[in-house]
Amino acid sequence: MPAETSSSGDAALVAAARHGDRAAFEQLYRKYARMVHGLLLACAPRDAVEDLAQDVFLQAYRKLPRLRDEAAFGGWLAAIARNRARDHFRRAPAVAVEIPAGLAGPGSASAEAEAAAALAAIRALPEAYRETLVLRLVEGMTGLEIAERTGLAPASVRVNLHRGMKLLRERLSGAGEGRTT
Amino acid sequence: MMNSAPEDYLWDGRGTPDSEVARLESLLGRYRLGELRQGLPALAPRRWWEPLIWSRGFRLAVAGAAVVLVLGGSPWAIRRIAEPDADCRVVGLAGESRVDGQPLAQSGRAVGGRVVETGATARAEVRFGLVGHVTVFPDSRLRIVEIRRGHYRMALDHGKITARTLAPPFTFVVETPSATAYDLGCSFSLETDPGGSGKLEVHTGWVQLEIDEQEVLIPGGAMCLLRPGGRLGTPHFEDAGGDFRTALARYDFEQEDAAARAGTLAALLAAARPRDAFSLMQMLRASTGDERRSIVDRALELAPAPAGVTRAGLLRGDSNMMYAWQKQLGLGEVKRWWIQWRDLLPE
Repeated sequence: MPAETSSSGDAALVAAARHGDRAAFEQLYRKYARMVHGLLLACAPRDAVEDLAQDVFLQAYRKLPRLRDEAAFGGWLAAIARNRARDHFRRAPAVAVEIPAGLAGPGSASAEAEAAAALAAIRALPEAYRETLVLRLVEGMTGLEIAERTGLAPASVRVNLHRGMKLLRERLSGAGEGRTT
Repeated sequence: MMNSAPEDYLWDGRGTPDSEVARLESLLGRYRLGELRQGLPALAPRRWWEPLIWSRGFRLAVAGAAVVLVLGGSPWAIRRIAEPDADCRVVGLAGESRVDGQPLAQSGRAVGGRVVETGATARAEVRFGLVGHVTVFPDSRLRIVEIRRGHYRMALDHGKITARTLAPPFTFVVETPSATAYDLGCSFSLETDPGGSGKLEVHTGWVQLEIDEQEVLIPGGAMCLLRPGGRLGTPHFEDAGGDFRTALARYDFEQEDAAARAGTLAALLAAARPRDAFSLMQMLRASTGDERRSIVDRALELAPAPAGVTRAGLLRGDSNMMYAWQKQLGLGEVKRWWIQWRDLLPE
């Protein structure tokens, strides 16, 4: 899995973007779009994620002058994404997601149903685990990329990945038991 | 270890794949953000001053300006309230009013008038800068006795006024033929006939009423009757029951023989509510003997004494105990006149 560019250049891009350089903001967008998409997917309805991601970047652009530490752009953007997802839930009624039986068996359900059930199982995990696992398993980011983009310490990401995966395995192995998020 | 252990595959996708992780990657990859399908959203051009207003320097400058305004403006505001200009204006609100005998048109104004008289349907207002204003109701005569910085003394010869003020205690004084009212920062109405019969109603704050050596403090929501001949009524709340008010007026102003007076007092005490304990406490100023004991006992029933306050102490008029007892009624502090600032807002 190829490593992406480090976040060391964020400060210069953010400094340029906050003075209206759209090309700089475009670069930030390309770099962080997957992270924002993954964080939203970890809790928001799938069909709303792309629109919410657009909102997050619009908000970020408007609020960019308020960002104090230009090098902390990733963590700041992640916070905006989490808040946007919470806003969405405050405005929209919660929807229960049923995890179908027979999840672990590859041939027991269609791939689409299995994927939906796996995502639902991840979403049922604590926030730190579900975000990290979505970024890793859905968005395909490495642990180091996750740490760089979100502003978390690599050690924390590693712990979240392993504990989250352990918990996920336990839940998925309970095939046949219905779960609700 | 970096390239072989299953947990390394979970970390960065390298090494021997963990079958479950690989299966989930394969399943969930369908939800991955693809080719940034929507692209960067349309961004409105940022105005040139937006980065400036969020800069640290700008925020510090705004905070500094606010501090300067508060520090610089507060003494001015306090002086304007505590020591207002020695000036007033009279404004006609309705009907025909006169100032120093000269007609005051409905919308006319006069500066520093000495006597304000209102006709049968007229109303006028005397305004004292930031300190407040006095509304003069129909058929009233208000003399402005003294105006100097921080002192406003008026005399209501007859009629009715309402005063709404925000000023330190004793800045506003209104004389009537029978008593003198000292404003302690409040809103009140004062009504009198030429002989001195009338009443004072306090809407908010406190007013001190004086006749000769007698003085009484009246809190918001209470009233006091005025009578000629150097007699003040007992302050009582305006929402007191009819029986209580009737008995209190008889007790205060009518000359009755001992038996009748005892009956009046018994009726008064029986009609008293817990809130009327305030009036009973005021009655203790001038009561003695059996009357005093009856009043103390009933007041203690209605408003139990706090720790350290005893019946014996109240009977002998211990001022500290009286103060502690009355304080627990929660009528507010006279000195906190400034909290009545709402009185100056338009009605």
